[in-house]
Amino acid sequence: MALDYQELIRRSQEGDVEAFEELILAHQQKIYSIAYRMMGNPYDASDMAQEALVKIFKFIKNYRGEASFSTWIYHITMNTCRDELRKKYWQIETSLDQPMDNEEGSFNREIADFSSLPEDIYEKKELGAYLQGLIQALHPEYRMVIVMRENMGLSYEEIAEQLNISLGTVKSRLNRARKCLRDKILADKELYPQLQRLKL
Amino acid sequence: MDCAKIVDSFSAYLDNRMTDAQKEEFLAHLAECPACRQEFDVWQAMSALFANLPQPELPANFSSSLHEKLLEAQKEMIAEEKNVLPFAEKKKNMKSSIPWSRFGSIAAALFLLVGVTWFATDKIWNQEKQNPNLLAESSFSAEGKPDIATNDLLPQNEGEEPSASSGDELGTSYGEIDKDGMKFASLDDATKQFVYSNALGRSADGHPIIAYRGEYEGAEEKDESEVTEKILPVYEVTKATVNLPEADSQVVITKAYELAKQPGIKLLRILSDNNEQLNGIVMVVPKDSLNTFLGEWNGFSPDVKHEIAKADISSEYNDLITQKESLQASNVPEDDSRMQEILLKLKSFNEQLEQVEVMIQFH
Repeated sequence: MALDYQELIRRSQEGDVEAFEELILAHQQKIYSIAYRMMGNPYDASDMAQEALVKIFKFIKNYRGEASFSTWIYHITMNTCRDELRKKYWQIETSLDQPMDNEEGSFNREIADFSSLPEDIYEKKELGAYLQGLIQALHPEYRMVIVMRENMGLSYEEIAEQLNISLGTVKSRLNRARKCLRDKILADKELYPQLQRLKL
Repeated sequence: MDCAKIVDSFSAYLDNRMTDAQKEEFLAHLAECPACRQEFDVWQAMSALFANLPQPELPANFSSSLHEKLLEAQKEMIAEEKNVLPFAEKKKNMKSSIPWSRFGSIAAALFLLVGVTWFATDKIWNQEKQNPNLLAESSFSAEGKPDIATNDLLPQNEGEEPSASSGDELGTSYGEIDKDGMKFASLDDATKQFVYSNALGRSADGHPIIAYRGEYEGAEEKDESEVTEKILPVYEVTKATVNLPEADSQVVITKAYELAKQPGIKLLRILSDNNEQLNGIVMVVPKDSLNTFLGEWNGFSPDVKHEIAKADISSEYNDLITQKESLQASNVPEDDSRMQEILLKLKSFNEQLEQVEVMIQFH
């Protein structure tokens, strides 16, 4: 890196676009990746990643190093996607974390809508696209915990704080989301040789 | 532990959220229950699948398109820093969104600090003809301040802003358009360009107005008191975190209860997970005793870490005050629902300003 990291932050705080671009170069891919997992398509992902980066540029003057820079910027990225999802179609279901009856069907429908998976996912037989489709079909509340845990590698505490939910809720949502994904993957495993190799 | 509970704790195991005792119990169950073991293998394989999901490729034009947006943001930020705001709008928002506190910090060496200076010219967007009597045509109130409807001062259409090609016009005379007596034409091109780029809207009689509050070379220096009285206090909400290494939870809770006996200190909640393992404690502490409070935890371990984060709520706070004052000015009674709502929000803000939420967590 041509310039010292602290120097890049300082210059970015003064509104230097080039310094900022150099600063975020190493994070751009991850930010895009988070946005992609959350939004599910390259167009919205690109929009959201850029919106987040512009926000980061605008607010970097307030960054005082309380949290690590990467934590801070991924947090802003996640919040940007979350706000967009909320604007688009988010309906918070109050019953989301309530204990549910044991009818397997209704249980799954609430967490994920796999019926919305596009047909070409199956046709292309690309495992990556298929798995992304599964994440995408999850209810945003569950999608967020999965992305934060699997993609961003956040701890339960960090997820709880960012989503303003209890640690118990983080844990139960992760478990339920994974169970839901597991059911779907097992049902589709015949379609993907990679899944069979994993002895699922 | 029964099989259903084991399945429910798969995530906790995969994410390393179990105590040694829980792990032991979990693994012991897997060792003797083939069904759970098989199911756990599936979860493990699936977890690996998601963890190794290939990263999506960044679109080819991502960086160039981002660059454009950043330049745009930079322009906006410069405009904001220079406090460009039409007077009528500013008067309305005097106590709201203007970052007055930053006003002094941006003074460039070239520029002198002045109060409010007004330019009006019809040449900038409307290049049809120059109007030598612009000052006379713009109506000024008794205090000598332009009296123009707010809407007219807001940018009407970005497309109407002066284009680069209008740069040729910079050298031409715009007459005595400055009520402070400064001749606009006497400014150098760079300063004029700056004034142009910060121009806002049109006056009620259709003339473009450049309202510019800020610094420029050659301007008269204003009495500082005029500026000072507009500087608003900054309101910051503080949050603190005490990171303790995994410690004996009972000792920590006892300590928290003990501290909560002190005036103003409250134990807000205890965070625990489904296994009733203590994850953290949230306490509320008066702002002025925060340091003493944080010091109380130092004895626990040499590794104890404190983090203090601040959030600026000045803009929201000042907006509320403005709204409250405007309701008071229209004689709206205190029991009016709008007023009640504002008072409640203010009360909550005041609490947030006076108290600090401290999260005591283990790592």
